[in-house]
Amino acid sequence: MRLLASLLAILLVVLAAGFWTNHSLLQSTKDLSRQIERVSQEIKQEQWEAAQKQNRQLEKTWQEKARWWPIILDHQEIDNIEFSLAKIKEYVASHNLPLALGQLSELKLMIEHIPRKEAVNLENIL
Amino acid sequence: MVLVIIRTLILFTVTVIFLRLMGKRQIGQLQPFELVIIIMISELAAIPMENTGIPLLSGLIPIFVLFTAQVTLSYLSLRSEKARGIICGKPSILIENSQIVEDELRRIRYNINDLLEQLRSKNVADIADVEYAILETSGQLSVILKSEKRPVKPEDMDLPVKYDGLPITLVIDGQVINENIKKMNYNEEWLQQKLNESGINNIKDLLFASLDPDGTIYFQLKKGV
Repeated sequence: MRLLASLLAILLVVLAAGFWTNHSLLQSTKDLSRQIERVSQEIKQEQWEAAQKQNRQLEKTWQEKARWWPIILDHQEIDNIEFSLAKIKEYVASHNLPLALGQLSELKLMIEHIPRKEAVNLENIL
Repeated sequence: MVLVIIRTLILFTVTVIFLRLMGKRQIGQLQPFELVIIIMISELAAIPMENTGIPLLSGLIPIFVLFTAQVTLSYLSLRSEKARGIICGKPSILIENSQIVEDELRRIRYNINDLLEQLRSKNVADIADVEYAILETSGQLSVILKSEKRPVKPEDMDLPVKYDGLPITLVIDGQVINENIKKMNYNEEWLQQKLNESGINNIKDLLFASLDPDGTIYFQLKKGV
């Protein structure tokens, strides 16, 4: 009975950690999306210097917020986001407006897709 | 490559610990839900082992959850007869008083050839000798022979028999099993003294030694001693 009680207690902790992870994932995603929006705005106004600055900030936010993501997410998804960040950096540096905006849009979609995929809802369960 | 080795060792260790905690049962004695859990655990451990792109937690958490489910179901079936019936199923009587219970065979889709095969594996050639044959929830067939067909026991012939206990292992491969010696209220000096009486001076020379219930020490020396 002691084993069962211990296991159920650990299960509760794991469950709570799962909900906390989903919450943190959502928060990190919101921060990253906001940052992507800022880069997009600067690019749309063709403020390339400011866009580069915002992009560096985006990379910094990504490093800070998503450090723990590989522990719970498929590593392929993380790689895809990093490839996308590298492309954006080059597009912004070469002042390529359409490609930079397109890549930013894809990045935003990839990042926002993660908490949606991890959310506890009937669609994901089924 | 190194990553695969580390992940394999972690998953192997965790799986062995969980299977060890699940209890001592052979594959053939597993209840259906235990068999399902073992198959699932092996698959869950193998996938993150070979694919380093999958987080280790994606394998470890389901293994832990399955283990918890197994322990919970085991406790439920231990506590409640009704739960045991639902989780493990109920034994089926396939032969009753030498008569094959046709309806039960049909219900559980068990053919007569399988039944005869199982009986033969239990050294029973004739159904007429069988009082009861019960298919247990683990899939094993228990056979109870008619009383006149059972092997003769000393009790049947009113024969007095002496107590036949279990020999206690004292030494394995030169290593004294102190736990067993203490259980018998003896100590290592006593063992050494007994061995000296038999001309053995060094316990390390022994391959095996045990103490019979009547107090006799059985021993075998290592090869070449």
